[in-house]
Amino acid sequence: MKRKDWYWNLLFVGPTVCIFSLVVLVPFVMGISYSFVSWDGIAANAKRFIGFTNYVSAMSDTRFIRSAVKTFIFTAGAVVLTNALGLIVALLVTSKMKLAGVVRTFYFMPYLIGGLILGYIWKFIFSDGFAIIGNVTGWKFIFFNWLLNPTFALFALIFVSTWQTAGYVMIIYISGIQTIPQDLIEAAEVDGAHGWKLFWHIKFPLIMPAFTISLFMTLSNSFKIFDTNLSLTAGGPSNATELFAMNIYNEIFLNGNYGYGQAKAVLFFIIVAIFTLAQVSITKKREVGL
Amino acid sequence: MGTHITRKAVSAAVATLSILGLAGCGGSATSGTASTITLFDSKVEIVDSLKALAKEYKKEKGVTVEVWGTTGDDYITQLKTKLTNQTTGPNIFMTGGGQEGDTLKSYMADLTNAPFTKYIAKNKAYEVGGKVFGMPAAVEGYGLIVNTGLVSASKVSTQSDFISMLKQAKADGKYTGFELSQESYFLIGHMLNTAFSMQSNPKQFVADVVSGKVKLQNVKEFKELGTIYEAIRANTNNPLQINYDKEIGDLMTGKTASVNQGMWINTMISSDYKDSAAKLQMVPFPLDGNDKLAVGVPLYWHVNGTKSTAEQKASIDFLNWLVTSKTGQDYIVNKFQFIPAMTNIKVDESKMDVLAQAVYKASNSGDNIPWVYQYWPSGIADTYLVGTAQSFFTDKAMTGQQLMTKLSEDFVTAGVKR
Repeated sequence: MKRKDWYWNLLFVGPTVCIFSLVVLVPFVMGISYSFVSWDGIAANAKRFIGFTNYVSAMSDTRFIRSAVKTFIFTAGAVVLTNALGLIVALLVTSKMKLAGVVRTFYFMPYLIGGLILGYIWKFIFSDGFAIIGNVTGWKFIFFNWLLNPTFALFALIFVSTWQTAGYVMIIYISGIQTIPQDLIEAAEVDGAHGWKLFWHIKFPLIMPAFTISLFMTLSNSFKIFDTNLSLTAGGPSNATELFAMNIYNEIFLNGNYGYGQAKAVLFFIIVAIFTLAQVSITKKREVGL
Repeated sequence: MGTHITRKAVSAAVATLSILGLAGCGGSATSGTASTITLFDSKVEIVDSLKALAKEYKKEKGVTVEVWGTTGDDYITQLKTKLTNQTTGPNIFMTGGGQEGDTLKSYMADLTNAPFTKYIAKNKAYEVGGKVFGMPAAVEGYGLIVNTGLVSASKVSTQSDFISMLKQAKADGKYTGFELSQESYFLIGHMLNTAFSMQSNPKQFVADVVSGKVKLQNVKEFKELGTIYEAIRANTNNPLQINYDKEIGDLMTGKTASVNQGMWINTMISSDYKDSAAKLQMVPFPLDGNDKLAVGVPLYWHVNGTKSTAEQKASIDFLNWLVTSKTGQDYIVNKFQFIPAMTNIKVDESKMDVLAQAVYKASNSGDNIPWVYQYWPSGIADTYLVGTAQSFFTDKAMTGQQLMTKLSEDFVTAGVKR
């Protein structure tokens, strides 16, 4: 590389590298180091090195494990529903449907509202709105306050999260579908592929890159969900919907166990990394080139 | 030639900037008293009055007090972040004392010799090891607030009367006898505190519960509290469906006869229910013969001890002016509407609302029970107790005794310092 190129590279990459290290790398390494101490998070108070004790305690912390299980259930539900819905609507609006543009816009809109506000809106719908609908229709087996039932509160969380992000992955799928060359579709139709066959054997393999992105995004976002969790259920009832991020937040900021919370956060990072990397490598293998 | 000029310009600009930066860092005076101090306020209700007060102070004493407001219920989290960084830390801050104060004690200046300390009412200072580290901002209190238009206070003076009132109200079906609401302190915290504060040595009692030596379910007051909770679940609206706004609304519109709340509800009453016909009276919550209101100091003023001596002196001067000058006292009593915990501030009782009057009387006579939850493990009400209380209200098979057993376990789990 020429010296001059070096300068140019530094000029363009330098600021990004600087910012990335300052706001991601440095806090990350510091976070790992804090996970080995017993500390209440107050700079002026003493930190005591305790080795792997925090990790050992986290392994036997039933509340943490329970929140891990809930997070997996939530993630599984949210990822499947979000992608299924996003894909179906993407297929609908790319077929020659009337009002496709309107549907696309309305479907995307919830994504523009912050998760915190969405949570409060739906909290009102689930508690007050559902009660009214239940009284009017008499269908009280489904229209009751979901947020007071430990199982249904988790469903409510999956529902709201799906409602919020499905529109976004729809956009990714639409762009995936639109990259499929029209002549390929026509050729397939000439060869007798229609409907389901056309989708499964032609379109589906070709939008695999969109799958990789969408799955990765929904998977990691669902694992890390916090805002909707906080405003919709605040972990209730009886801590039944306290997901990973909230458990860590409570440990650090409310109970004041900074080191212990950090250890949980590191474990959380490892789990999310394993799952998302595995998913990316699996879906990458299934991508086909044209 | 062209590049030459540019380079010179750049280095000149850099030099100017760094000089400005240095000047910015060295802004505070090193001797005497500082001309600017910062105050981080935790009470949203008084932030505007505080800013006005700061202007008066500037006029009278020439010292600028910069008032920072908070956005809501995460004051302590924000405060911790601000204090960690020495330059962004406020000069004057507030905590609730107890556990919360103890974690931040390293930042507090010793106020034992401050000029205002002698005026602090008995047992109302925030003290650690015999030294004063916080000045009480106000006294607040709570108890059973009864709408005497529906139920007379004499009908709820004992626990059995209270429970039969609940049953009677349910049978009549015109209103509910009592209501709790879903927020952690209103659902369980304040009720549980009453049982804690009835112990002979509440602070030691908390320590014993945390260590597991004492189990709540074996203590008389808590057994009775379990009974009361069963009666509440059986005879009143599900508190998980009710928030604070609705609870107070129900009280003021005659849908419920009583609530376990404090004088702070007056803020909402005076703005939203000015025309309500409800006649309120605050009486002791009748748990197991309790005949006292719970009175405590919700907030203390602290001076940041990590700042320069000049700034600490300026901060103490401001606090002193706040509680000794005519203007400051007028703000405390009339603008903040605090019941002061200082012996030198005179309050006109007739100007208070009935709830504040009851608390003021209880505070002055010393005939009250303390707030113990300041000594509970930090965060326990929001991370443990509220969840357990939610289980009690969603799972009808859970008994009051089981509720107390579970709460006792919560204290042990939350008390582990990691």
